Amino acid sequence: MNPGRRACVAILSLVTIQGHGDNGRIEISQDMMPLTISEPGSYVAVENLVHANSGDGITITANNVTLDLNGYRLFGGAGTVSDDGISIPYGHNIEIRNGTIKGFGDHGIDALFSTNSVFRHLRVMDNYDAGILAGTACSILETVSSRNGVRQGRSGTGVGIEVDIGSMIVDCTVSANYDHGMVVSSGSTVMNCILSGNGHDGAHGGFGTLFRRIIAFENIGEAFEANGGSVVAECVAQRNIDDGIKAADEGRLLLVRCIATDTANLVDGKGDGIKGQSGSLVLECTVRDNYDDGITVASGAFVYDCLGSGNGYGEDESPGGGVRMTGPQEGVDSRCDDNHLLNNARGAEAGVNCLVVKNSAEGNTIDYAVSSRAHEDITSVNPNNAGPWASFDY
Amino acid sequence: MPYDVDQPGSYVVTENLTGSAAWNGITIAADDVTIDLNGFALTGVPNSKDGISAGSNYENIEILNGSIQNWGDDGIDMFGVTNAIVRDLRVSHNADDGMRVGYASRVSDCTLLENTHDGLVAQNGSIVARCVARDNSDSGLVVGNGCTVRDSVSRQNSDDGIYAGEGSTVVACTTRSNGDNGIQVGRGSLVTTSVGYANDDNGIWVNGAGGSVINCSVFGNSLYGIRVGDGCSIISCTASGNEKDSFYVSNSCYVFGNNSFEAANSGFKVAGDKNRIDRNHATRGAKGYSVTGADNLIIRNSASGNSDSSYGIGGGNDAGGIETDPSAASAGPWDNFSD
Repeated sequence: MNPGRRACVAILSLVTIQGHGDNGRIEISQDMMPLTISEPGSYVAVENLVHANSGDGITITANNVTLDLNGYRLFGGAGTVSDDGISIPYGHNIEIRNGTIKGFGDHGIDALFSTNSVFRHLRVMDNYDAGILAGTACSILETVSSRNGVRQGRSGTGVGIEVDIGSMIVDCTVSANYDHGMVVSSGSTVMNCILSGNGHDGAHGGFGTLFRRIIAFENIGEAFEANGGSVVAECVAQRNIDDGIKAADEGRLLLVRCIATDTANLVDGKGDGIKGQSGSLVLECTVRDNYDDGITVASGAFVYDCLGSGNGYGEDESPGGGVRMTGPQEGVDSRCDDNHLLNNARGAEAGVNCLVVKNSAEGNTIDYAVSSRAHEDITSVNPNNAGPWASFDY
Repeated sequence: MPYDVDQPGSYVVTENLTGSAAWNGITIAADDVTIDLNGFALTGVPNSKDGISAGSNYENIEILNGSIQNWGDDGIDMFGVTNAIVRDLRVSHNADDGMRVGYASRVSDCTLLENTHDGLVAQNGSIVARCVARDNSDSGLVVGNGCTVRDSVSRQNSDDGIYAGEGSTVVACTTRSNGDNGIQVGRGSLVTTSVGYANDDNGIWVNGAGGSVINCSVFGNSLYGIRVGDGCSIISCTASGNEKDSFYVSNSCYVFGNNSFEAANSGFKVAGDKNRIDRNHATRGAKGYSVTGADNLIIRNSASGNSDSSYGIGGGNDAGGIETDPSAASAGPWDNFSD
C-alpha cells in the first residue's frame, strides 16, 4: 500500500509522511503549501492540499519533474484570492497526474510556456480562468475539464483546455466551460473526446489539426471550428446553437464521415450542419434537420457521396440547401457529385462554374437551384435515358 | 465494513473486503474521492445492497483496480455522480446492474460479467473504452446521449449488446450472441468499424433519423443485418447469413458500396420512399433487391446467384436497366447488373 493514502476499512487513519518515500519519491503534504518545485524529480501528494491564499498553489521551475497527486485534491478555496493551481512558468518535460485541481482564482494549470509535458488522469474544475493551458508538444490524456471560467466577463477566460502547437488531446471530456471547450493550435491532434455545453464553440482548431471521433453537442456556439489544412473525421455534432462543423474562413478542410444534425439558430441567423468554405473536400457525411444548409461550401470545394435531408427550414431570409455551393466570387468552381438530397428547402444550390453531376434529389421545395452558368445534366427522366453524368430530379 | 467516505481524498484498500446484509459496502458522500481497490476484492453477501454507492449530486469520484462481486444490488451505483471515473475493474454477479455512472463519466478497461440487469449504464456525455460485457441478464453496455463506446466487446447478454442514445458514436466494437440487437443507437449516431454477429435481433440498428453505419460487418443475426431509420447512410458494410434481410432501409436513406451475401430473405430491403441504392452487390440470397416503397432510385447495383429473384422493384420507383453484360451495346451508365 502507498503509505501516503488513507486506507479503507482495514483501518488506517490519514497518514502523512514528509520527505522521501520508500520508492524515492518526494512526498508533499499540506504544511509544505504553497510549494515551489525547483529540482528535477518525482513528487507525490500524500494528502489533500489546500491553498486559499494569494499566489499559486504549486510552482514548478525545474525540468524533468513528475507530480503525482495520488488521487488527492489540490483545492484553491473556491478561488477568492488564490492564483493558479499549478504554475509552470518555464519547466519542460513535466508530468502532472492523478488528481483534482479545483477552485483556483486563476487557471487550474498554467503551463503555456512548458513543452513536452504530459497531463494525465486529472479533473480540473471550477477555476476562475482556464482549466488547463499547455505549451507546445504537450499531451493531455484522460482528463476532465469542466465549469472553468466562473469569473465570467473577463476577456479570454474560461477555456476548458488550450494547447499550443503540435500537442495531443485524447480521451477527455470538456463541458460547461465559460468560453470554448478547447482551443488547439496548429499541427495538433484531438481524438476520442466529448465536448458539451460549453459557452462558445466546442473546439477551436488551428491550421493543420486533426479532429477524429469527437462528439460535440449542445455547445452555445459551433461544434467545431477548424482552420485550413485540417481533418475532421468520424465526428458527430448535434444540437449546437450555431453551425455544426465549420471551417474557418480559409477553408481547405477534409471532412469525412461526419454527422451533423439539429443545429439550432440562436446566434446569427445561420446554423449550417457542415460549413466547408473554400477548397474543402466533404466526403460521406450525413446532415439532417439543420436550421440552415446541410452542407455549405464556397469556391473550389468537392462534396461527394453525402446525404442531406430535412435541412434549411429555419426562419432565415434565404432557405437553406442540402448542399449549397455559392459564394461572392464570379466563379465558384466547386463540384457536387453523387450526393442524395431529400426534403430540404433546396436540394442542391450551385453558383457559377460549379459542376453538378450524378446527384439525386427528391421532395425538396426546389430540387436544384443551379446557376445558368454552372455545368450540369439534370434529368427528371428515369436512369435508362440519362447520360453518365446526369443528376436525377425524380 | 460497511465503510463511509465523507471527506475528499485518496483511499486505498489493504485487504479483501466482505459486505454484510442490508448494507452497502462503501458509501461515498463527498466530491473528489479516489478509491483504489489495490487489486483486492469487494464482495457482497445475500441481501446486501450496493458494493459502492454514492449519493446524487457528487462529482469527481474515481474507483479503480480491483473486483466487485456478489452484491445484493448494483456493484457500483454512482448514477448521480458527474465525472465519475471507473477503470481497471472486474464487476460480476451483482443482483442489479454491474455499474451505473452519471453524466460525463469515463469507464475504461473494465469487465462486466453475469450481472442480473445491465452490465454498465452511463449517463449522457460519457466515454466507454476497452470494456468487455458478457452474460449480463439485461443489456451489456448502455450509454445515454452524446456518448462514445469504443474498442469494446459485448456478448451473450440477454438484451442489446450495446445501446447508445442520440448523437453517439460506437467505434471498433464487437457484439456477439446477444438476446436482442448487437448494437442499437439513437438519432444522429455513427457506428463505424464494428461487428454484429449472431445476435437474436438486428446486428446493428440505427433507431432514429440521421445516423450512419460505415465499414461494419454483420453476420448471422436473427433479424436484419443492418437496419436504419429515416435519413441515414449505410456505406461500405458487409452482411452475410442474416435470417431476414441483410440491409433494411426506411425513408430518405443513401445506401452505397455495400455487400450482401447469403441473405435468407433480401439482400437489400427498401421498405420506404426516396432512398438511393447505389453501387451495392447482392449475391446468393433469396432476393437481391426488394423495393416495396416508392420514389426510390436504384442504380449501378449488381446481383448474382440469388435463388428467387435479383431485382423486385415495385412501381413508382426509378431504376437503371437490368443488364447482364456490361459490354453490351444496351448497357448504360446507370444500369444494374444481374446474372
